[in-house]
Amino acid sequence: MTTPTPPSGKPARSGKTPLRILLVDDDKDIREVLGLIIEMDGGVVEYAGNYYDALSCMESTKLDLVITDYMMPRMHGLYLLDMIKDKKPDLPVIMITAYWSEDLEAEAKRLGANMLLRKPFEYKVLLDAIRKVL
Amino acid sequence: MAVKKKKTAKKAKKAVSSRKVDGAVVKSDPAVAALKKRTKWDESLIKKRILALADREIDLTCANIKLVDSALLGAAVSYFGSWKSAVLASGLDYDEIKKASTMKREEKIRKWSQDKVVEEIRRIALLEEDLSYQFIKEKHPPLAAAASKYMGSWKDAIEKAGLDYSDVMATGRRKRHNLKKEWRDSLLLERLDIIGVLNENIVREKQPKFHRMLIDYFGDWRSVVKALKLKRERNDGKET
Repeated sequence: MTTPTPPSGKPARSGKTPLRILLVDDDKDIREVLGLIIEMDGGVVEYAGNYYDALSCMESTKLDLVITDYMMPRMHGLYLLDMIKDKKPDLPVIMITAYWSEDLEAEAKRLGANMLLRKPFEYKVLLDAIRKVL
Repeated sequence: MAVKKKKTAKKAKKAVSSRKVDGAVVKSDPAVAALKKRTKWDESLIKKRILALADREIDLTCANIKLVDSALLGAAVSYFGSWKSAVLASGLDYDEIKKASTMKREEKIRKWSQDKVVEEIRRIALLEEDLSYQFIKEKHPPLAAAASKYMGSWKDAIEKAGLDYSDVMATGRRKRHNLKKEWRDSLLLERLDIIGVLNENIVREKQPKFHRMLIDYFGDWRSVVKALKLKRERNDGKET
């Protein structure tokens, strides 16, 4: 996302190159809505509906941030998180979940998640989280 | 020569990435940075980690490690061939660990009974929480385990609590669907509010994709504006 985009509250970025964000969620509606509103703020969004697509995107694209759902069919977001942090430890990851628990939060943090957001959240909460982790 | 070049390139790449790592360490939370460093696995680190977990009396069965430290499990399997071999290499008795884990689990479930499961299901139903197995397994794992143990299945447990299983499933699906729809709409309205323009032509012209999505989900522009006004009223109500 570029710095000069109005209005205030956008994720800050020191350079002017757009942020490239990988958005991983098995729910197509949520993926599209979150992706579009992030794009409207100048971000470039890559989409993945599952763990395998996410990993392949991560291999082929230079990313600034990953936003991933926790509960996905066949593979937990925690496995994806673990894999990301193993391959690219510096790549920030925001995990989003409807199934928040203290155990999950502790485990996500231990595996290196930069932020855990509880669904449903407001868009401004996501923007704040993006700003904080970058 | 070519090999040497490759090695030099690799070294250079490594140097760049380590600079990046250092840069991030300076910026990020030191605790998170310390955790990231731990991913440089080798046999001795794996054994050390296993013994540290044993000291903390963590259940060292493969199933539990998968939940509490999946990175360690992955490393153990790649270095030792299996989790059991890694535990044995650390000087621990895996059979004893399994026995102790089973006993602990049974003890936990023993605190439950058929009546307690039924009572808990009814309590959750009164709170109007989702009673689908998927939800309960995530939000109330001891209840899900006790239901399987004492009632055979979640379906039987629900029926013994006097509830209709197909109703429960349908309600769960409906609740999840409604929650999702509510959230999706709210995100769109919040973003529209940021634009601050309620003139359909302007939004269509400036943000055609966003406009199309709003119409797809709300039906027409009048409904979009109505929903946004309602959301603003609700937010104002919350603030006052």
